[in-house]
Amino acid sequence: MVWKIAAKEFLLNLMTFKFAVGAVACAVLTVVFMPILAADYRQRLETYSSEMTRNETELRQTKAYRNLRPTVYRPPAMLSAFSGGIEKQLVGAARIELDTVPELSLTERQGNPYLPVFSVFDESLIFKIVISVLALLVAYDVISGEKEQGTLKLMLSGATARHQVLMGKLLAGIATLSVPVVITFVIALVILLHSPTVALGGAEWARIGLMFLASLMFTLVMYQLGFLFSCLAKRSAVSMVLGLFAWIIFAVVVPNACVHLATQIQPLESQEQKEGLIASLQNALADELKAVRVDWASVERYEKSGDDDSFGGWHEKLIDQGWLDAERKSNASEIPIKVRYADRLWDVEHRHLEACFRQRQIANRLSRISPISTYENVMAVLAGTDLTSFQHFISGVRAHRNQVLDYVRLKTDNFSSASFLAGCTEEDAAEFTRLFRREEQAQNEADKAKAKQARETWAQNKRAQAAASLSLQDFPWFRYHPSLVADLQKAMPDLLVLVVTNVVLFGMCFAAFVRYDVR
Amino acid sequence: MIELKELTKRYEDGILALDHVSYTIQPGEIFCLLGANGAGKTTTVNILLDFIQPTSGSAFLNGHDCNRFPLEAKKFVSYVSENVQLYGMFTARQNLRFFAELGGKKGLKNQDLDNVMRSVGLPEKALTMRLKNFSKGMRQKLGIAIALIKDPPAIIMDEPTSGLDPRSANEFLDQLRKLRERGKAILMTTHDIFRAKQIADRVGIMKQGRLVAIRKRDEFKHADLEQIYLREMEAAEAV
Repeated sequence: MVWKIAAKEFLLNLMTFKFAVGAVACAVLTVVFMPILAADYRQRLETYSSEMTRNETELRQTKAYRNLRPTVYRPPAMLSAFSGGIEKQLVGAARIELDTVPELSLTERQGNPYLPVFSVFDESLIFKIVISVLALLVAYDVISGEKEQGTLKLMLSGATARHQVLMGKLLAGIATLSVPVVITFVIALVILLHSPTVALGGAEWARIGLMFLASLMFTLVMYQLGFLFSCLAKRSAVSMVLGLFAWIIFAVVVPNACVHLATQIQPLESQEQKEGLIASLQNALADELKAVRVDWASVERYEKSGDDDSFGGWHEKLIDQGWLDAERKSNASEIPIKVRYADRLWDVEHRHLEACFRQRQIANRLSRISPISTYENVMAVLAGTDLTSFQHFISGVRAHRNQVLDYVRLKTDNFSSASFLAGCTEEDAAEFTRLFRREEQAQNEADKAKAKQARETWAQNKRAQAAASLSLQDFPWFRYHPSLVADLQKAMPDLLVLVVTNVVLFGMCFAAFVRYDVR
Repeated sequence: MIELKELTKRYEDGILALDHVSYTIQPGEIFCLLGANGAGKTTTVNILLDFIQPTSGSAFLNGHDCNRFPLEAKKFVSYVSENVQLYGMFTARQNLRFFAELGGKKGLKNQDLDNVMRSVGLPEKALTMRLKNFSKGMRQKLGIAIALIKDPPAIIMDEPTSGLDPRSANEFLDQLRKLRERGKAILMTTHDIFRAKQIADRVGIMKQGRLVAIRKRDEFKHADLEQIYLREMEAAEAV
């Protein structure tokens, strides 16, 4: 009986104009936007790869550990076409410095001129707008419409139980709405798989499977919502108005209201407060540095030798013993202070970021009363474009900074070796000093010129030999790998909310339909 | 067989829609229920089909209590409503097949469905036509076909001739006669005294929830049923 009702309902749904329009709209939107999103991903991946290569090349040319300043990059999420989340609004790179907080640099969009127009478009938007409205439109007259045309009375005048009618109609609703859901996913996947930069692995397929499941559950929630309104209203026009009203509440009012509420519940410290804290820390740092600063005027030293005058380039020049000792003394006292203050500054920045994250999390949790927001959260988590993915990246950056610090500390005998301070060894510095002194001690101009010539030739050869830069064989390279298990754990609460919402709505639909006055 | 025993219905707003109504409709009998709007005719139908619960009393279909065991009782009844709309996007055959299958009929061939539709007078071209193109008369005939294909012992009809043109109404009455010959117990509510006189074996006259009179065919066959109806209504009002 249930299957007969479901089959009839399914067939009738497929024949409706609204279904045809909805299904075609999903297909067209996917066909139009998916190639743009795939191209956007390809472009971002190329940028990411070239930046990574450039950064690695730069690092491999470094000659002094003092200049080891890697930049870490967050790879674009492969499934961002399914849900863009907030990926593009957040930074994708961070510069790791030994004595300053990681500098979070903003990514810049280049190339594709269409993307700014469609930057917020993704597959989940098709579901949030087109399929959710379609679900309500398919469901709004499922009971009240049958009552109006007299068929409900006719159906229930026989030996058909109400729960059979309910189950049949729900099954038909799922089957009907599965059609545009499947169409959308299949088209999206076909386009993605034809993109040369997309190589879906097991984890990605698992994510897509879960996204499909979440999309079906979300669609069922919206259908049951429409079903409930159809049971509560005597006329289908009323149930349609109720459905659209609920859609506006869930799609527009709840998300915005929740953000507003979250700002009231978890207010952020003002930008001035944060900047004040940072300024006072920087002042304290300057004071501490001043107290331990080397008096360079009293240091007996000669000029450095080298061509690189770029920022940090002086660390890679040949220096004499005087320079080396003074640098060593300076770093021994300054680096621990700078590292300590960098940690404190990071704490200030991090506290602010954490407060922003907490505010966003409160908004997300509150917005779970809207199935549209819940679905949006699930999709972003599964696509790896949600806020927690960014938090994971930030934590990774901090952990990486500590790894780099430990690595350099170990390699440079706690920031004191010549390889940390300059582009030469202890012996080179001693020899360089000896050559300078010989030049100083020359008795006549001819000897002086000869000694100078000898020093310059030596320095030139040394620089040529030192072209082989630092060996970074055991350098802790940064790799960002989103974990499927971790993301699944993060998505679980929202998935559960969708399941529970479906169960609760089913109970409400059952109660409403059992009591429905069919007269 | 359709049986009502002391059937009473008082709605939540206090209106007494049925007041201790009792009668029995035997197999092969057409019982027409007459009365003004709000007399309680449709309330009776709604209780028989378990759309509402009686306040007291019982209704039976083929011996099964309609409100205690509704699904069991409704196996023995078909229903023809005042305004049979059905599914406009389906053909007549698809509509008939769906409701036949809901009624428990399995393995029906197109031929079986077409024969039933022909027997109620639907033209050949209508069998595969979509219902949205049907006239009200044609839809009413299909409604009867739906009632017939289930082949139950009892049929309940709520204002079935309402809105039908004279020719369609006459064709409809012919169908009722055939059903009577096949031993069906038929309850028909109507305002149409003229059609009731033509077809009924007995008429029940209702006023404000009370069954004020039951007249057999012999009593109104040669009399003016309208006069009887008005007289009974006046008498009920005087009481």
